Amino acid sequence: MDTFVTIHIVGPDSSASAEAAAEQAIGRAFGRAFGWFREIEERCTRFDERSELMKLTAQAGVPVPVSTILYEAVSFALMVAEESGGAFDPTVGRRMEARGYNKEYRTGRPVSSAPRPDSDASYRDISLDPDRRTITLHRPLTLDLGAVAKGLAVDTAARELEQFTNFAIDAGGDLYLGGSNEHGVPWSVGIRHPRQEHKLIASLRVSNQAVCTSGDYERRDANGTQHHILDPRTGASPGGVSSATVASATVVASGAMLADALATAVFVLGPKEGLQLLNRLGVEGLVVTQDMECHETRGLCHAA
Amino acid sequence: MITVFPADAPDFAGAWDPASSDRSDSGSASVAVGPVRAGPAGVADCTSARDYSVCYPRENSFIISDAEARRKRCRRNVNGCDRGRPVRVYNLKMTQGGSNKKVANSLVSASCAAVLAVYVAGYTRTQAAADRFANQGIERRRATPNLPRAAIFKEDSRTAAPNAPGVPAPPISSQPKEQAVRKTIQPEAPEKALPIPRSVAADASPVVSPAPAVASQSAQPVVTQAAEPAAPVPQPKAQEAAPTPPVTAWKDGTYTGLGDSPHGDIEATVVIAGGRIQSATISQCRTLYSCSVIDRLPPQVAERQSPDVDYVSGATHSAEAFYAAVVEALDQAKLDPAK
Repeated sequence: MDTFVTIHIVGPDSSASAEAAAEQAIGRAFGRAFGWFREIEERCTRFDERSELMKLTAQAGVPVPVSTILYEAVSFALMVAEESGGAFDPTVGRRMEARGYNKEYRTGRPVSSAPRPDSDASYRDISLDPDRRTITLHRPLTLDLGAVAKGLAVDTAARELEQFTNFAIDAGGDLYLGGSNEHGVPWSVGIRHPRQEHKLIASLRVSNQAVCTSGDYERRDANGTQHHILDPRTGASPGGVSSATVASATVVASGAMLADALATAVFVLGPKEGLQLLNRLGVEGLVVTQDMECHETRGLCHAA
Repeated sequence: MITVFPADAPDFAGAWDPASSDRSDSGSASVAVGPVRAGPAGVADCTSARDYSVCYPRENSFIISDAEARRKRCRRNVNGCDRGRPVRVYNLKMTQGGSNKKVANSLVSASCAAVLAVYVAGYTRTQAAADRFANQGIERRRATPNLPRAAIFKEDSRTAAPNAPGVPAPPISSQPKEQAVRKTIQPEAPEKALPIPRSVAADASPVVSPAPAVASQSAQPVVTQAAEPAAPVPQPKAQEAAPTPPVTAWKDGTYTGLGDSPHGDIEATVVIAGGRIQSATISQCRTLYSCSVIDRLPPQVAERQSPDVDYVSGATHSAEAFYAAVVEALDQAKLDPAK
């Protein structure tokens, strides 16, 4: 996942000795929460051949028993793919391979992907058996669970912290905000401006929800070249270079796994279809197009 | 293209009213945990890069302070999602039986079910790290002057392996949130060195040595929304509840302190005049990344008459280094208690 994770818990001042126990509880919750990140990354990473995910994708054509974590992640990814008409598709990741991003981000070691994936594979080439908890890949393909896995980790970590009511998890831009911040009001979340560094394009008030933003400004390689999200339905950049192309798509939803996958889908779908999808699902969102026009759902709560 | 809004659609934007927030019992504190680095060492050679945006992943959304949120109203910034600008708003006009409620889709409930299934299944690492984690010196810091009992905890979780239950632990029965809640906001406990309300308690001076992450992992500064002081205006209750005498616990003069971080030091200069903090500035910025990411913090020192500046999402190390530098400077300015 290669994610920098920060967790904030709003809790009592533990200077009193009576609250040492509370501090212990907080520490334990941190441990469990971070543990979820490690566990989920270990199973779902594309950058380690020993991960459960990579072992799965090495076995096309047979049902493969998998853990609950991997099963639920793939299952949910497929649901979003279905719901978005393929705009979100875990079998099609970003266009990175040409720029050398088939290396593990952390160490730069090349990662070999075993069977050569079929170029026209899609999410429809995956079957699930819920009773046996197996996944079958009907043809060689790559599975990129980066967004879903990170969101899942945030959501399970959030469950660990629910007892504290007021907390925040920041996993490299995937956020879950529980309750209120230390001032007793809903958390404020800034959305990076797609074009102006160090600036926000919006700030939102969020409580008991996740916020995820997908942008065209996310990853650059050493040459400064951007890596674009692909439209899985066309294999190319979404929408070409028209002004209606999305620069940034933010989703506010009840969970980070949902918000992250939807942000990607909305990015691909564009402002009109993307927001229609969000409305249909009853979640909120904000889309910024290349011409810096803002499109948003009605229920979005701005901070200012 | 603007679709028609259902007439009685709930106006969520008005759901939060700052005036109605009840802070009379806010004895709660803020606890922040430092980063878990699963993280990247960076691409190519970025150790000397000034433009870290090229080398490190960037967050697109991040937590900001309340004041920062207000500040970003973007009246001036025409490129922002300014509320004053025309915004295309999409709303689904419901046709099924005239219901105006947004239909909770199966995808939303499916995501909740998936998370629950994963959570209940648990994970099977074994180790003792949770307790280790709990017992580590948790770094604590006061969050804001309005909540004198607030503290920010900072952890270095790199050394902590995950906790390991086969199943997740049941919720802790004690409700830490409620313990301190009903107390009146008062100046800090008397055993602390200085009778300064809202100042850093001696035991809460943690972060002189922030978690020593690897230099390349301090990539966060690129996310640079510096926290601003929580302005007193929207929080009148807290202010009224804690009337405090003026601070007179420092010797007049100019003092410098140094705070270090994994990516360089920050020197702060604090000027005391009339027994009060007149100013705190960054006199030397020797960090790899520009100190502009924390330029909101120095004025907070004088405003709060304390080193308790906000932390900055994405610039944790710089903020901590500045805080530590101010603490060191103020240590030199302390009145001799024997006097």
